[in-house]
Amino acid sequence: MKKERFLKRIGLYIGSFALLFSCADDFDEINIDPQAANVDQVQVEYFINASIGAAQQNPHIAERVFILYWKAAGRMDRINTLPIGVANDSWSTDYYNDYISTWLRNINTAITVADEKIAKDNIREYTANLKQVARIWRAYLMSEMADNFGPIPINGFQGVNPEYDSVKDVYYYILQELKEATAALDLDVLNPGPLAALDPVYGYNYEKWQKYGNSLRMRLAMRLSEVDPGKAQQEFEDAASGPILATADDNFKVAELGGWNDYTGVMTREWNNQYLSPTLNNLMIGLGGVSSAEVLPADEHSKIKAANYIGLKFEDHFTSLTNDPSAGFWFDGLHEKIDPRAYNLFPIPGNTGDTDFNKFPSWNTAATTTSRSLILGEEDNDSNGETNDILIDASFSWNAPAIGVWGEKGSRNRMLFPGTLPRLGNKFRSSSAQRIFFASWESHFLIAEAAIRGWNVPMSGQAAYEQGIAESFSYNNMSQHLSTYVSSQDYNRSGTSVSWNHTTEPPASVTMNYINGYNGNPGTTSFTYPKNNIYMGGSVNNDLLNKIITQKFISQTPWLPLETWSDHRRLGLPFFENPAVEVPLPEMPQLNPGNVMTNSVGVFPQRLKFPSGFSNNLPTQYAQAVGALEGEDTVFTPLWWAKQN
Amino acid sequence: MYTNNAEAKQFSGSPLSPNGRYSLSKDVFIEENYMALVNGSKSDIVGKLGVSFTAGAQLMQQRRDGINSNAGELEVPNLFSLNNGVNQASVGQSFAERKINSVFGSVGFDYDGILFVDFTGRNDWTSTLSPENRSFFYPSVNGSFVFSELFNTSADGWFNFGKIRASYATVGNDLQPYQLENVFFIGNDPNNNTTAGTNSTLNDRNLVNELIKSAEMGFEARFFDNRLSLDAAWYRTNATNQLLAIPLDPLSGFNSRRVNAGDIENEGFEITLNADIFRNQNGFSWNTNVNFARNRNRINSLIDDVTQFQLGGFDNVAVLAPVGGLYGEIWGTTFRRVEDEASPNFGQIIVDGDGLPLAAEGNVASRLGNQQPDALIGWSNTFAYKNWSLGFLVDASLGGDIFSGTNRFLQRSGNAAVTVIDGDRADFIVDGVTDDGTGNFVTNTTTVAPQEYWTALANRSGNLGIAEAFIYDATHVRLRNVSINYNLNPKWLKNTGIQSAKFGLSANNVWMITSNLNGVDPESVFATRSNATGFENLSPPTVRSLFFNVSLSL
Repeated sequence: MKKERFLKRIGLYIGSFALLFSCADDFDEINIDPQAANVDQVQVEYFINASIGAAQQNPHIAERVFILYWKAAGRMDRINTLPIGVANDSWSTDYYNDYISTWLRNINTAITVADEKIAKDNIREYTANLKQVARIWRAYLMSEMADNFGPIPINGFQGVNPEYDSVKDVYYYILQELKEATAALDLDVLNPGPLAALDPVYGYNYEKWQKYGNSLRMRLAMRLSEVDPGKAQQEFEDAASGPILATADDNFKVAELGGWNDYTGVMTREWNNQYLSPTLNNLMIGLGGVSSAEVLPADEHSKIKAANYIGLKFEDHFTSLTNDPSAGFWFDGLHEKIDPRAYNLFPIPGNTGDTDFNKFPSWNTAATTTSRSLILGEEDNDSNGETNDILIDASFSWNAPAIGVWGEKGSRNRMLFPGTLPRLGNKFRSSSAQRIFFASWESHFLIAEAAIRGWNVPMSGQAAYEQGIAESFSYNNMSQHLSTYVSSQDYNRSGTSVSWNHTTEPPASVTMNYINGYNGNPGTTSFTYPKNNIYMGGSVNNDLLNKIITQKFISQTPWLPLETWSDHRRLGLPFFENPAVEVPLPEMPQLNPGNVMTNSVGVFPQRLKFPSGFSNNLPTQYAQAVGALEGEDTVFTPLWWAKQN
Repeated sequence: MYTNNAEAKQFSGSPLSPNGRYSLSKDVFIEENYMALVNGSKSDIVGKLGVSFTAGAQLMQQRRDGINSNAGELEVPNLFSLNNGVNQASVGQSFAERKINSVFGSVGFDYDGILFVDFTGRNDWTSTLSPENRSFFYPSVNGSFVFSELFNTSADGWFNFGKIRASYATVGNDLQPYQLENVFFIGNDPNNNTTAGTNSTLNDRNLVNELIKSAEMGFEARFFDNRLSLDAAWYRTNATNQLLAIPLDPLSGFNSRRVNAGDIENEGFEITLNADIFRNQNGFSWNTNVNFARNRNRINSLIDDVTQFQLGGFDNVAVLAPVGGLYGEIWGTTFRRVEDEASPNFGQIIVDGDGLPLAAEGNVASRLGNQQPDALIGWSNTFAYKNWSLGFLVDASLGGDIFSGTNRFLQRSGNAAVTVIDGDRADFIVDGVTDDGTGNFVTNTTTVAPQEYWTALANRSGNLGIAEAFIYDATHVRLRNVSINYNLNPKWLKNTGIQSAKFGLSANNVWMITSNLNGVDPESVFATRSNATGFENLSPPTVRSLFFNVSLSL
């Protein structure tokens, strides 16, 4: 009996163990993520949509990259980051690891998924076209990344750490991609209606994608104009011979969306000021011979100062340790003549009646406080009993003081705040605009530049130049002033005029009037136009290239700061003033009071450093990438296509 | 089984969002275990040898289900509803399921209550590994020998108890679910159009289980009527095939890849001495306990050609785990110094024309130290008299280095006490040499203003300045805890139905006795998810707390 019971017990145990192992047969199934999709369930257009959408930059990355890097280096704002040699590792790491590599990953996935579907013959009639659209957009993203960091891999996204290619190889590859992809687009394909929603730019209108592809190819070909002129010319002429992005309807633009998401406007954070930059201000003052009185309503005319007036002189409160030609003065009114687009982009300080006047930040009154002071002695207060601080009302004034470090003068000067300096208007700050990646004016300025180089292009230099200006004026609602503007021979503060046929250099100096801000005495000063030493030794301010790039800079404001940075790296144009060095700049010791009055390539930022994680986690790969850069991994190493010295 | 409900409400009025933000999530986790166990024992099977055994099987099942939604910026201020967003609420969903089947058993022998040996083994079959790698086995063995029994010790002799022990154990761990395949995901953009994406960590079908092997040897003895005891142990733990996400270049298509990483080792020893210096039941008692520990954490190997990976740090300061080195090496930029050993100025800091120190050429990084302490010592004392007791614990961490970003920040902004000397900020001359133009070095005579000096130190060569200037010895000694307790005299509780009552006051993190970080606590961490304790930067300070306890037993 005992034995039987014992055997039964053993049997029970064996039986239950057997039950155990029969439960193992669903192990494979339960380890498949129910939310994962396979290649038959995804579509090429989903990935294209993801890539283009994320590249609009949500507010986190837009603040760091679009504003603090590009607008700073492209001199469309007054920000002390790249211009004083400072790149922040966490912003660069975010951009590299989480943003641009994800946009590139998605567009590369679009292409591989398209290839897989074509191989399986599981295609719609538009699949091949979507692949070409993906190749064109990928070419843009690769150019964006290479223009920021330098060497990037051409053959990435294979699941292993890729080899980095030199900037030259990357550009040759992208140009080849654009040539092939634009040619391979089949313009006769008709899309089903719902497909258009998955392309926030052109709704998969293949003609427009082709025009954009050709114009992008022109931009990237022109990038090589100094370092590889033969290749540049060949690619440019080929691209310009096809259909190009030539009218405002064709502009590559994406609508912004309110809230906090990928489509939120890049300039909508209230704590970024979006100031008028000194670079842009020097380009616009006096340019085009259009008087402010023609542009502004009659009740503002009393604020307009006479011609040849340079402002109130405050030697102890405004730095002169910069080659900004407007340095040292406070302009206590509006300029007699200024590029009319200035008033469309930047509402006048203190002009709160203007609906476009921006009142950020909304949690304090800085934007509407126009009355501020310059300190004499100590700041006036009850305990020291001083009353000598100079109070200035900045309403209807127009200033863009230099960046850099102002030292003692900076601590005494309490004027420089949102309410006292011109800033971008609400139209750019409320997620109601359309972010432009490529506009028709750029096509025309590129053609004008090609024409003066003697390249074979469909328009004459002058026609292209004036067409570009016309399109920018139309965008800025200033077309009524176009004819005066285009024929003007007046010089701006950088020594350039508008008229194509007027290439006379400005005089050595101009006598300008000022008023001593401390005692009210009038005086005259000999204003000299700045020497842009990095362009033709600083002897040429008003040649055709100066004109084209000046107009291009103004037109690209505020959407294309990366392009203005790239143009300056390539040509040294337009004139970028040096930041002030009242106190040494720790990250840019090569600029000092001894050499601040001359420009040199070595004091302008050229790129972003690779993120520190790259060198710390992947030292072998990092060494290879730096080898492809052919220089040190610093902010000041010029890229292959840029001016080297 | 548990449920996590989370709700995040951000009210209006901050610069971050004018009308507020709202998000909501629910997470349910369920685990079911079914176990069958057989055990038995028999003593004196052969002579004084006894044996016991266990055998069992277990079915484990885990399931996790979650849903979350974010309304984003709200339309109507402070109305926290998911439909009140400026944009349509985004929705996320998560699901994971895992099953493990196991069989296990152990058999142990003991001889006369003096010598003990145990063997255990367990085999798991998990759903998260591929069929080829699904099953894994891990055994262990341990033994102990109470040698004091051989001497017939008596309770009032000077030597009461002695034991030596040794063990070798292995433990296996499986993966999380869904880490074998690379897949696509479908999503939605803010305009409600479809997007798709891929997973950002490269998964691998060929992953195997982790195996953690540990060996330990120990010795324990008690003397003088158990008033003095000594316990010493040596251990070595090797985590092999550890499941790590090794960083990849994101331009590979993935930010990291899952690997079984070679061999990460922790080796060390620990000694504890405990003494009842005075032992009187209702009189004065004093117990003291000292513990000394030293651990070395070493990376023996990782995988393939990966030579290191980064644990933490920022820009020009990195905390690394290098293969062949100790975990937590701190690397950063250094001062530029005279390198010619023959020169009389060898080792001096080189300053530039303005008299300010320079960073090493090319801003190269060098090894600045390691975060691991050389030893940890804890000393606790408890005093008791009748119903009162008082205790305090002092602990010391000796050695190890730390980069102090807080000190750097304070020095850069002029708020640190070191920037003021004798109540003044006079210009001074940096102790160093400068190049006289011909390649020779002469003693520096250029004066600098304190602001220029500290900002140069804090900004040159990277976002964190010349890192060498901000590395500190992390040695610190702290009075960790003081507590005082009172046991209520039972006669006052006679008719209350309460058996005993105890009141106590306990203070934690009472006093930092010594530290080198100018008031910053070396234990204030930069990131809770990081093991990079050698880097701190503007972390919130550690807190001091005071507790009042009442415990009643009924």
